[in-house]
Amino acid sequence: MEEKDFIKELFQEKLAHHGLPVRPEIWTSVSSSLTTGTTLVASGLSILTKSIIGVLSVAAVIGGVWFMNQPPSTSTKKPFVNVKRPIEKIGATKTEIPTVSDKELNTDSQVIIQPKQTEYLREETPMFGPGIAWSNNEPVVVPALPLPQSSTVQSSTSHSLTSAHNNPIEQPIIPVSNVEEAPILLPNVFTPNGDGNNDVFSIDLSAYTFVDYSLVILDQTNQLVFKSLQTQEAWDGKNMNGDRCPKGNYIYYLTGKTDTGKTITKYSTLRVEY
Amino acid sequence: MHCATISEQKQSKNLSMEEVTLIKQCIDGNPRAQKALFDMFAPKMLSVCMRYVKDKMRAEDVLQDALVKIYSKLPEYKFEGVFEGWIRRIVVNTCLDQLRKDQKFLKEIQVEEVSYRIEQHEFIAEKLMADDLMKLIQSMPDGYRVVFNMFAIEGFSHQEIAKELGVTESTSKSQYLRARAYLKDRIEKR
Repeated sequence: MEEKDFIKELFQEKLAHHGLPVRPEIWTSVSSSLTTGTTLVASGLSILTKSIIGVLSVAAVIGGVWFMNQPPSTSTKKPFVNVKRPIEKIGATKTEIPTVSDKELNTDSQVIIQPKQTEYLREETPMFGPGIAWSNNEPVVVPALPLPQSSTVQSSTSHSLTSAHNNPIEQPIIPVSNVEEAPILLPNVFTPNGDGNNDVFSIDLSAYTFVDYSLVILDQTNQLVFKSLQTQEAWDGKNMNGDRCPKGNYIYYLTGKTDTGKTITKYSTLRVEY
Repeated sequence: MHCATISEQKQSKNLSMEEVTLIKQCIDGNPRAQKALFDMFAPKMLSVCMRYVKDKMRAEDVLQDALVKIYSKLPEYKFEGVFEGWIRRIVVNTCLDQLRKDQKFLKEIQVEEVSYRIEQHEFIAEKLMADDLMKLIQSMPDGYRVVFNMFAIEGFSHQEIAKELGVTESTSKSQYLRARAYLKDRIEKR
């Protein structure tokens, strides 16, 4: 293909390492059809087991060190930011066992492994890129999206102001043009789950003074879920009726006019997670 | 089994010591190692299954079949290439087997040329997220979807796809172009 295949690139980047939460029942079925060579009893860790874990941990650490010293490879060079977000637990409601297991159930007297016994390996899982990470025995989806860094707006502006104008007396009082260039950071995800972390959505507009401002947030069916005419007003994830908006993708549009007469229009998608 | 997936293009490293240890323990039948292997790959492989077999329950069945195959074939693994590529290949083949059983998707493949053009404008799709892309893929007809998955994401060549699906190479190409035009259209309409 002589031209760049954007669609291919996009899908490959976003989905090649995509992961989905797997119900624990699947492991139960799979493990029941495995022929285990050694019979390590699940309950109660024997000294033998502990020593195996110890040896493995050492091996894993050595492996990890060796791994990190390697030149960038497929699994280390991913530029994604790993941010833990609370996502649904595996199979909270479904209890039915898939059909395949029914055939294999005659061996269900096999050992079922307790989750705590695999903790020694969970530490290594982040190496395998965005997908699923483990936290408190719960799988957590690690998004494969570059999330915005916080507070770059202020730091970059203030830095340029102080360094570029180190003789403040000769400078005009308000270097308007510099302030105008300040980028507006558009957040694309927030989690209104009340855990005190990223619970409201707001755009940092402190670098500007608006004489006219509006922010609208629409859901996937273009229904208005939030509207604000004040720059400081944040969205708490509730729709116009005060109901909690479902998890999913939204889009927001920001339009405004600054006191210097500049018109600003911005938009971005916004993901709501709980 | 030789694996010619995306992993092969990027293949520049051998397996990590940790992976080798894990694989050997799985072969020895160590249940903890088997579970660790499952935890490591099952989520990603479920995503693969969901791209081929869009129904969740059936995708889970396929995943299960594939995993059982993977464990039983582990002793045959030659420690060549990226391990995930080997696993992925088995999962994709299991998905294709399932689809072949259904036989539906083959009927949807028709040889037809498609004209398309690429516009180099600002790419809004950058903002789309993996979940949305999954949904878009799942919304495609089976014929498009399988070829698109194999070519764009798993990195098969059209020649390999043609061989796997028992169609001609030009069918694979035209299916891919149609799938791409379909996806592009959906993305731009958003």
